[in-house]
Amino acid sequence: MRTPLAWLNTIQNKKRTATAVGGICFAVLLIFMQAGFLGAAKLNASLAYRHLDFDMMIVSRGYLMLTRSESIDVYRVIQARNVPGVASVEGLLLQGGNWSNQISKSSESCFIFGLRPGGHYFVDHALNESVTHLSERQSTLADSLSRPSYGPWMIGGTAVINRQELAIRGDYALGMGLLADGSAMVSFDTYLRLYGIPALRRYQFGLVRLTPGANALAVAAALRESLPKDVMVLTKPELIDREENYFVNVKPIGIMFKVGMLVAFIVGAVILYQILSSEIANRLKEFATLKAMGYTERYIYGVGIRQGLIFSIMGYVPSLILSFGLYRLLRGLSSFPVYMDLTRALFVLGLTLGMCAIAAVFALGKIKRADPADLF
Amino acid sequence: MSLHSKQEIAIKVTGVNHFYGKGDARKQALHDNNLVIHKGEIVIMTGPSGSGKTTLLTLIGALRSVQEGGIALWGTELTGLNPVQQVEMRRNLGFIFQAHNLLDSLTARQNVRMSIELTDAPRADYDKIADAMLASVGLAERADYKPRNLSGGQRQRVAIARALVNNPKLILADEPTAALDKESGANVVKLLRKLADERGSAVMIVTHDNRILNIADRIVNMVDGHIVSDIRVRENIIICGILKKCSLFKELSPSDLTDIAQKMKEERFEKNSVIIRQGEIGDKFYVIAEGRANIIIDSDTGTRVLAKLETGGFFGEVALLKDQPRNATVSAAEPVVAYTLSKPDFLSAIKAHKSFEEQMGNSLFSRG
Repeated sequence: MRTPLAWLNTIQNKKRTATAVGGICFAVLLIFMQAGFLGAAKLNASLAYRHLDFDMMIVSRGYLMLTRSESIDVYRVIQARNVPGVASVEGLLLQGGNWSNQISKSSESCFIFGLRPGGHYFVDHALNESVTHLSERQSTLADSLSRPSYGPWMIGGTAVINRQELAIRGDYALGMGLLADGSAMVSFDTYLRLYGIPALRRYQFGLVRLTPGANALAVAAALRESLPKDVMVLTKPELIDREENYFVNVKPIGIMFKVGMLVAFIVGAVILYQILSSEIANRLKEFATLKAMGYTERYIYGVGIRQGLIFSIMGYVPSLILSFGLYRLLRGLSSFPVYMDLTRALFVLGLTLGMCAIAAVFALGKIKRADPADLF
Repeated sequence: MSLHSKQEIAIKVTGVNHFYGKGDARKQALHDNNLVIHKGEIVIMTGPSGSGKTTLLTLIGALRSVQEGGIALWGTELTGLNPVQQVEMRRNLGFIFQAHNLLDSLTARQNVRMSIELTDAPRADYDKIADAMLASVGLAERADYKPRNLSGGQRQRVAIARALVNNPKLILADEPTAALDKESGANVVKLLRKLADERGSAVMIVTHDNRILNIADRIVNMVDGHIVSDIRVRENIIICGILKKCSLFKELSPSDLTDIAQKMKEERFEKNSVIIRQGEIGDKFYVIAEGRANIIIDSDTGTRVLAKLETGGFFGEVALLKDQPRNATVSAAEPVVAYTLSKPDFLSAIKAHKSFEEQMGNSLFSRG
């Protein structure tokens, strides 16, 4: 075996290498965190849609995102039911309200879903079952993943929403994450009462389910054709995609995480550059000696690049392991849906290698300056 | 005894000029340098700092590009080699630096291996070759030590092992003993001599260290980019020995003798051949190193042998001093080896050395 010079150089000064690796590890960990937040924000944005059972959705023309949508006429839902291939269309009401913490008397943001008792809304059958209980007047289902600031509440107890007392008949696990402090579900009747709306004329959404074997694209086209232009028809993947894109690319929160990731990337690249360039500066004489001995410049570049890779991998592995722990901690603390997956692990590995490449391009230029004629 | 045995030429430097800087700042570091170094020869380069010896060393070592003139290593011209070919050429050389320049992160064995790994040696033999080389510099026990755990002398020996392990045809050393105490320095030098003799490599050492001059075959002195002298040491010692026996030079100091000796050339004459002839214009001064010669004078009274000359005998000075034709004939009574000094060198030597002038006066006087 050839003498592994890059490796031996890297481990020669263990203290310095440990410091360097620590720095890189920190930067990579930051990237993992930002990437985790970004992924969680995406997941969070479309979370409600992932729980809802539908093939396509009728939304208003001016639709922006789940919590910022205009209403649609109830007739659009009725009209859609007549389109061939459509099995059912459920109307859904949704609006921001407030939940009163009964201990502190503070008012917390709360998204209120208005549902038709007996309607099929959710993927989770047990939840659909619970919705039937909402036919009781002034009753509600509470979100068990609401923030702790909602104060204590329990099934069978009372919730105060929009200053009205509702009986809590059950719960469900949704969690609004970044969108609101929590959510609650009520029947259409209760919903109208909560908002003082005299009659049900408008919905926020129409959930369309297709007959088995129907061609989704063809039905979507038919729906768009038959419905007036004040609504849009989006398939479930289209809607989720649009939702995540809106949240991540348009809303500042997504941009924030991306900038955070970029900054962590630059910090990592700068740390790696400094380590590599000081390593090379310290060994310029040794590299010049290698040149005098008859080693090619290419070999010496190879040593530098390999050292960069070793530093990167040594920084990456512990930060991957730490990220698992930190993600778990974060989930425990905030119910924020941060999960490690292979794609993210590989994505961050790619960024780490990118950091290494950029650092190497700038740091290795010095190798040219290793002039064996200067050794004498 | 042959002082000029025909040897294989290792390095041939012809008409090399070298410049540093550009435009107005351009400064000439080397002026028309010519030098031939043979296989198995140890050449020591001396001279004040800034005299260009290191520049010449780096040019020969293919570490700089030749600007003007030619440098050939074993017949291969360095001029016109591209950087890749320069790197390949360097693999035939062994460099020893003043600062040992070992790789700090590697053990002694690994440092030596770095050289071996440039060759076609089978990978399985790397350690064996490295250990054998380290043993030959007396460091078998230190193979697993890193440079910082070795003494200065040991480090330099590792560096030498690294330079020599591939049997380089040429070893270029820069102050190899400067950082060493007297004993380690002597050991390093002994090692170089031994390896040069055993392996027939040419060795070129740049040094200011007078203690190691005695290992050299030749001492090349440079001043201001010029090669001002090129002394063949052993030959010089022999000539000095002969000159010492010669009454003419007995008062001269060793350094004066060396100055004269290095300008002398060897000439050989067959038995009965005429070395100088009476009446000819004198152009050389002669000292007999081996054999005997007769001084013969042709005069009106006939030819007679005026004197017999043996080793240490000299002749030919009168014609040079007085600018006269030769006043006698000298012929070889048996095969003669003589050292000759040309007229200009002879006259300048006389001017330079007062005591020599006095001796010369005495000799003229005594000979009448």
